[in-house]
Amino acid sequence: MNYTKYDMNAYNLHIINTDKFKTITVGIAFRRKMAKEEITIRNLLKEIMLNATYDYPTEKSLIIETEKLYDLKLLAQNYLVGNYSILSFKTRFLHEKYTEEGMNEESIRFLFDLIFKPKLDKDVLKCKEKIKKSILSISDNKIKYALNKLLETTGDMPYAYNSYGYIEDLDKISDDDIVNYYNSVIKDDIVDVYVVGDVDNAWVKNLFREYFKITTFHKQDIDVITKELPILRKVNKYSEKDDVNQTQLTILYGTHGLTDKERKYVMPVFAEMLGGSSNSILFDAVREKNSYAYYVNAIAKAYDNTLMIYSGIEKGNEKNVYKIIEKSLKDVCKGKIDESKFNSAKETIISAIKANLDNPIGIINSYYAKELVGSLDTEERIKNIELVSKEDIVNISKKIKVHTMFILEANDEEDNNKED
Amino acid sequence: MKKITIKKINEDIYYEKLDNGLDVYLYVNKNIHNNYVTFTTKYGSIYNEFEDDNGKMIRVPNGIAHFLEHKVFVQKDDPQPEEFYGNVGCLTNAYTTFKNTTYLFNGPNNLEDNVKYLLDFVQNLYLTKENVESEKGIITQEINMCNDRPGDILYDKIRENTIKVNPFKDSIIGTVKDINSITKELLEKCYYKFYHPSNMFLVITGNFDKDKMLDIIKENQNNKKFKKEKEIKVKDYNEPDKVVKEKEIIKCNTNIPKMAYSLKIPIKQFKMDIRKLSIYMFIIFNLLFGETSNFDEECKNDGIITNSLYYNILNIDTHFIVSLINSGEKHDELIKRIDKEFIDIKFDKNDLERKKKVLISNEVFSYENIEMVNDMIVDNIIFDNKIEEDMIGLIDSLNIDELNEVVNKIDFSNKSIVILKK
Repeated sequence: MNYTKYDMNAYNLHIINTDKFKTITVGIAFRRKMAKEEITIRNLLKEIMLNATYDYPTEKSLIIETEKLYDLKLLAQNYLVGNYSILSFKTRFLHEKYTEEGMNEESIRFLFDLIFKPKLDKDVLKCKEKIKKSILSISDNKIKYALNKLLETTGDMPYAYNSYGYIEDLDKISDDDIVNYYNSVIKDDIVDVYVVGDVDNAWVKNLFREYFKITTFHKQDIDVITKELPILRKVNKYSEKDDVNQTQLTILYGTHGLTDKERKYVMPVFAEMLGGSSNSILFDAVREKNSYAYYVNAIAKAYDNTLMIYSGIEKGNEKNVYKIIEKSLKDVCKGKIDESKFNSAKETIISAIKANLDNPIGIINSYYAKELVGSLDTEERIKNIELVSKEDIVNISKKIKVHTMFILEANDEEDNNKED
Repeated sequence: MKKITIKKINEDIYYEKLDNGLDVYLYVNKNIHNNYVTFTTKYGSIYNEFEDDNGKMIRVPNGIAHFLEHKVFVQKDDPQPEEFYGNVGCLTNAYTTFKNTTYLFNGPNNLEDNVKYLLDFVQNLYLTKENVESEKGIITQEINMCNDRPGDILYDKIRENTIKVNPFKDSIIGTVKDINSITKELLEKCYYKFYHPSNMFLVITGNFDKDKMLDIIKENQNNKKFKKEKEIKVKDYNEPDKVVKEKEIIKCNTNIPKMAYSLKIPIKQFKMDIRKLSIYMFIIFNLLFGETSNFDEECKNDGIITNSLYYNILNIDTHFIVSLINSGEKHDELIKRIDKEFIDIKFDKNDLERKKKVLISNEVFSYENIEMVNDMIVDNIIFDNKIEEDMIGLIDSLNIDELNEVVNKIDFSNKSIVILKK
């Protein structure tokens, strides 16, 4: 695998040359500072850009074209990393040695069409409906719903906002707004392009020079790390009743004063050990020893300065489960760390880093992390994970403070487990 | 070892049947770091009536296959499987379907010991009265989680309203009542019946030396004693062709109504190779309702749907249950339009050829990823006990006359509709 980064003036072109795959994957990422009022329109723009282009002016004709290109796959996503809002388009298609000559260029140029020749006035209403539906569907997934509610309580933090957008914003967006926002994304966002596969670098470079025309220079970059949550003397508690069988217990923790090393290497190991798998401290304590839950997880978002713990439990067990979680955290603070769980967490993270290199999307994500947060190369990262000590874990656990608890409460006992 | 070469893709899968009946499939990719290993018993939720050792047909509660999946993970002595695999940076998991239970791990390190350990922990059951009881609370929470998902409720209802006697009608996990009636003795009975090596297969996909790997597996299996291989007899069901209930509206805690339009299609009438028939079924519903259909475009333009219909094809051995699923307020109008779409169907040759191109591309795509290769092998074995060597040839052989013939035989009036709403 051979990595080269080209400065194309207004954007970076990253080529990862490898014959590991039968496919070529191209990823284009646009990023800017996350702003609440842009979430909805950014999502809408993504839908519209995937809907039609000047050459393929309807959704149907566009999809038929992907089928003709040997079922070229398209993937578009909006997501957050710390303060960044990232709009990403990826395409993956069979290398022409498995199809027919000329298909590599045709497939990549198809992606360029989506980016530079979108039909922004086509099917706007339909796309708005799609967004609206995804917003309304959040509550069909109780875990996601409860976590959203938990984060919402933090007010103006970037992660407090529902990532699909807001129905009231949707209605206000005009056709002009869409065109203006599109122009601004092309002009103002920081752009990185990734090509993974068995390609000739000079050929790729020329193709981009000729057809991928973004000309703005000197773009403003921002700091990725989100500001810390305040330290509270008493945990915030919120709850909501819903017609559900299972209670969702969700807890938000803030991290305070993390160093770069802690953020990159210690935090992933800590969260993995605490609640990353079925070999975690919490899985053992909450599920295996006490049968309180089917799942209990911990997720760290180091660039958000947060850690979340959540579990689906029987109504009435909230306090007991919370106590077990608190005790588990305290034990780690006191240095009571199971050697085997600690090593296992490190090994798991290292395996994931290695396994990432087996698929093109994982490769793109690893290299993009270099741009976003200054990640090191694979070997360096693995070495640094190996160096994480129990002492590091104890130190980081002291920098984690509980902030808010949100409980989505189930019905009363007698309504549960009803059988028709 | 027998070499199975997948035609036109030129990928090799190696196969051997061991002395104790265990089937082993190996696929090597020297370019990668990761390995993906599955150990499967051809035992899923539908096999709950079978002949016991005395030749008597017995009925056990629903949900045992899935309950066993949880319990097989528990070992008498530490380390437990999660810990064993965690220590070498691998992940382990398991899942239960209608027809199989699969145990798996993936990860780049320690492959040989990991394979041995997988064989050891799955082939060793440790049950106590207490550990059976404590699992009931966990599974009840799993059931509650599923019952809070409208999608899961819809799928359960589809099967309940289309299937009358075949156990495919019941949920894989069982009900809380089923779970509470499960005992240590019942679990043991099912385990020793269905976890015999002759009813199981091991699939290893990843970066390894295939000959050495096979030796290790053989040695491991030769050191274990199993009862003599005995044929497993499960009950056959005489499933009627008619759906059970034509329409049902269910009250459910969801913001957007969900609709499923299901057809029950008897398989025998087609007199065609089942694999080929399954592809035709997929193409028929893709051409009629997929993203490239006129139906999809018109319904979206008229605001009847916002997302394309999702179609699901379930093969219950005697019938296909084909479900068209969508969520949205205008389900009544959508049902009318689907009804109309089934009148006078005529397919275009060019459309079929384009779909064939898609299917062939996807066969190549699947060799991009060892997890997909592994899944494909498991599917092939569960589906008809062998690897299809010439899938591309099969897809190539599809033709418009046969397609039209198949679609003309479908009775579109044999339908069942489920609506979930507040």
